[in-house]
Amino acid sequence: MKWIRSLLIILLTLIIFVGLNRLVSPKYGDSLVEGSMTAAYYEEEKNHEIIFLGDCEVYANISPMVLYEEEGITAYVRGNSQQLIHQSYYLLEETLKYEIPKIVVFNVNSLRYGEEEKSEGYNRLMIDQMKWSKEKIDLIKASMTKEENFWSYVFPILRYHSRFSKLSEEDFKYFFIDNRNTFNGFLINKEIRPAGSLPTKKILPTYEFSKENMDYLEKIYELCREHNIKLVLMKAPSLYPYWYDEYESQVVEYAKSHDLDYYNFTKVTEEIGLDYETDTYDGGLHLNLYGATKLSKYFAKILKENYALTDYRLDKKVNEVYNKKVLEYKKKVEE
Amino acid sequence: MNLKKLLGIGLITLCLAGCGETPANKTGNESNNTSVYSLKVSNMEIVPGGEFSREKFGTENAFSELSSCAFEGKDRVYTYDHYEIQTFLKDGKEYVLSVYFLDNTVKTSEGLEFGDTLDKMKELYGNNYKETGTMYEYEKGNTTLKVILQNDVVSSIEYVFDVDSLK
Repeated sequence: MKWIRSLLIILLTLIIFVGLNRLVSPKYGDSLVEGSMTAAYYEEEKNHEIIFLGDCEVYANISPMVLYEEEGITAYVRGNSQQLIHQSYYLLEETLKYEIPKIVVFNVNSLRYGEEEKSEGYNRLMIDQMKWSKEKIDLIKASMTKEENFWSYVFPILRYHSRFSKLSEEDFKYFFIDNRNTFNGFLINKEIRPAGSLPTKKILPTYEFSKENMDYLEKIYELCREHNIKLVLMKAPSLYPYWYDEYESQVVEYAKSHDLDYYNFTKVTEEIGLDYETDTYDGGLHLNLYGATKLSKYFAKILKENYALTDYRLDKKVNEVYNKKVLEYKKKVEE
Repeated sequence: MNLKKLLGIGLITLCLAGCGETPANKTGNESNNTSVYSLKVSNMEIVPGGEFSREKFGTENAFSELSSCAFEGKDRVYTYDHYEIQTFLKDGKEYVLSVYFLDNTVKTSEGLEFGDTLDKMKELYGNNYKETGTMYEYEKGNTTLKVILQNDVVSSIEYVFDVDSLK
């Protein structure tokens, strides 16, 4: 009987400990909603023909709901704020455990980033709600800044204990249920802040993408090749930070040497119909809903014309699911 | 010691792990502080880490406010005739994050300007620099002078404040 009592005490202690970890962890429910993006994927039906990878340039600019409405394309954006290329790689590795898409579209913006872009804040947004796996462990190890500690990812209370005094309604509201704020990884932003003046284009010490970043791009390429996935490169339209000609030529060269398609949407903004007076929520850095809709319509056509994709509007089962999603999406758009 | 006490102590220890004093808030750098780099221009001293205000530095030719991916707060960039100041916010006040030279009408306080050679830079600042490709970084206190050479001449000069020093 004594051992049963001991077992119950251990169990109770564990439950309290797990509960406390959950309580102090940021919920990303109503505030900092970008923190819920990684986890939103797990609840999805894994039938995406296209997976988009990248940073905020992807989750703000590509709307899978529009891709579906326009051409019946099923797609998901596995993107996060300031998602570095090594993070895209491990997230792709994780994704391929769940499904094998026909195409992976990688936004090349993160090729420019280096060690100085590593940030605990952004790491937490991406990693906190990721399911535990070998890929998560690898991702944490590759992402941690010097000040961070691996065990604080295992036991969030080590990092967030100071939140005990700052707990809010959100912490209790979303204790058991997470709030989802994206539509197949796309985050709606209807604000309009027209493009205005921008900082001077600075001279950089080097324009060459780092070896580490190019190695990760190569790893993404190989991972796609092993799984018979077509890798496509894209550069989302953005006025800032500047996409230097030197960056462009490296991507063009890589695409050429690896026989990859590369779409630089910064060069065709007129064709897309973008208007930086109305189509951006932050002065030209990212598109808002209106700009993202235009870009997604434009890209949907390219994807349909060039790659053998299924029109899932003709699949009763999938269409039923997506019709519901599109309905919810439109409700949110009209709010 | 019984199991209950042991587990209780363990829980409390884990909860308190990492607790430490909150770093004291430090204020920005002041002018006439000789242990940091500063730029003297038109009877004015711009100190990276020092307070910024339009009253102090004048009205800019252009202003940009750029938000980050997810977090609150925006980078502010003030473009003047010959230099550009980027600022950061702390406790409701604005401080100079960096000063970027736009042309060769400005010189550093030590006399470095666009078009100078590597030897001239070393003559003015010495050999205690960090070299990354064609960029040379000199540190002084919590400020850094970043100099980039192109075709063997100085083509970029920037003062930067180390924001991490405030933590």
